[in-house]
This record gives sequence, structure tokens and C-alpha cells, in this order.
Amino acid sequence: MNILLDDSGDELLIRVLETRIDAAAAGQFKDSLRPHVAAPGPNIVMDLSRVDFLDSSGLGAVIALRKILPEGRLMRLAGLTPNVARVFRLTRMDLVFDIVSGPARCAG
Amino acid sequence: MRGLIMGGRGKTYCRTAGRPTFAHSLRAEPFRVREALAAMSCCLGPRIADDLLGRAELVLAEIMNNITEHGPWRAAMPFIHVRVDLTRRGLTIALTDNGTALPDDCINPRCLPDTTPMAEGGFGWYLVQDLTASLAYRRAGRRNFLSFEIPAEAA
Repeated sequence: MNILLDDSGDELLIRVLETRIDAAAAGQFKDSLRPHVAAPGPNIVMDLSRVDFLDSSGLGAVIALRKILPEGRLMRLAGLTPNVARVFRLTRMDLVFDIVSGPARCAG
Repeated sequence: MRGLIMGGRGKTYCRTAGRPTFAHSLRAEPFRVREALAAMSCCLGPRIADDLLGRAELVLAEIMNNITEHGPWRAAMPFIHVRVDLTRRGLTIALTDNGTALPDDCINPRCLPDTTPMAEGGFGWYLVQDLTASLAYRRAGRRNFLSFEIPAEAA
């Protein structure tokens, strides 16, 4: 699973470098990120700008990660490509998740 | 391009001249599903809008994953045949497989799963119904037959 973690101290940036979070990848995606998400730590930004396909199993994995966040820790999603944004919109998960438009983190 | 590509992993037919058609046969396994979608994207991608291709990929992923997850025997997963035709109205798609029967209500409109507590599953058939038109299902003998359209313009 190709994922980069960048912990700046006040924010954990998770860069998902996989292009597909589908049924073949969702389990591993969830398992790889679980320890980083479940423990106490800074708020999380998940950068999905490289992901050009996500199906309901991928969505389920992102929801599962959100559910294991410890109390008070927040997770935002950034860089949704059109195919990924469609799944969040159609399932109304865009109303549940904090989705930021534009790049995950500004330069500087 | 016209050709039948035979291989151990699946069988693809792609016609891009005239009325484009894509057909693929695969064993119902997650990585084979991924390959089938990549082959479809390769075949039809240059001829259709990204939005239509994206909706088709999502619907086919949901349906084929469902067949994969509910395969009757772990030792011999079902075999799926899928055909996609480009028409003036969008894409006309037919699938058949020898897996277990789909639930009778699979073609009935359904609601989104609960958000309290937040469900992690149950979105697949909702997405299929939301993105397709003229969805039809028939079980005959030991086979499932599904057909539907994906409109050129999103609803």
C-alpha cells in the first residue's frame, strides 16, 4: 500500500498514492492506516488527489477510519478527484465528512 | 482496433470502429475485476466522456464485487461475462454470471443506509440504482442476467 505520512506536529498529512481504492485494495488501505488514525495525535488531513477511483468498499474503508478516531481528533479529506467526489456526493457522505477543496496543504 | 485477446486472466473483445463494443470474461476475483475495468477504460475511454466512463466503472465495480463477495464456492469462483455497447443514449450493458442468485429486491429502489451509527457498507446497490436506468434482473437456471443503461448525461 503506497501511503506517505507527513506529521508536522500540529497536523498529520496522509498522502494516499494509490490510484484505486477498490475491493482489491480497501482492506489493506484500512489496515495500513488504522494504527496511525486510532491513536491520539494531531488532526488528520487525508490527501486523495492521486486516487482516481473509489468504490463502495473504498468508501467503507474511509468511513471505518473516521469511526476509529479517538475523541477530539478530527479527519478532513482533501483533493477529491471527480470519480471520488461522485461517490461521496451520491451517498451523502459529503455532508458527514469535512471535505476541503484545493490542495491538502498550502506551500510554506 | 478490433481484436480478441486471450489470456489466462480473462478474455477481452474491443471494437472501436463503427459502434464501439467492449466485452470481457473474467473469474469473479477482486484483481480480475480491476483488470476488466482497466480494459474497458482502455477500449472505450477514448470514445466517451470521462464522466460517463467514471459512472460505468463505478456501477460495474459494484456489481462485479457483489458477485465476487457472494461466490458460492471458494474453490471455484463464478465466471462473469460483461458486454458494453456505446449507443446514442449512453452505454447499454449486459452481464451474466453463474454465481448465487441476487436478492429479489435488487432492482427495487432502495434508501441509503443509516448514518446513526454510520454504516460502512450497504452503499453498493444504492449506487447501482442511482446511476443506471432500465435495470433488469432475471435468474434462469444457475445463471444471473442483468442489463441496464447508463445515460450519456448524468441525472
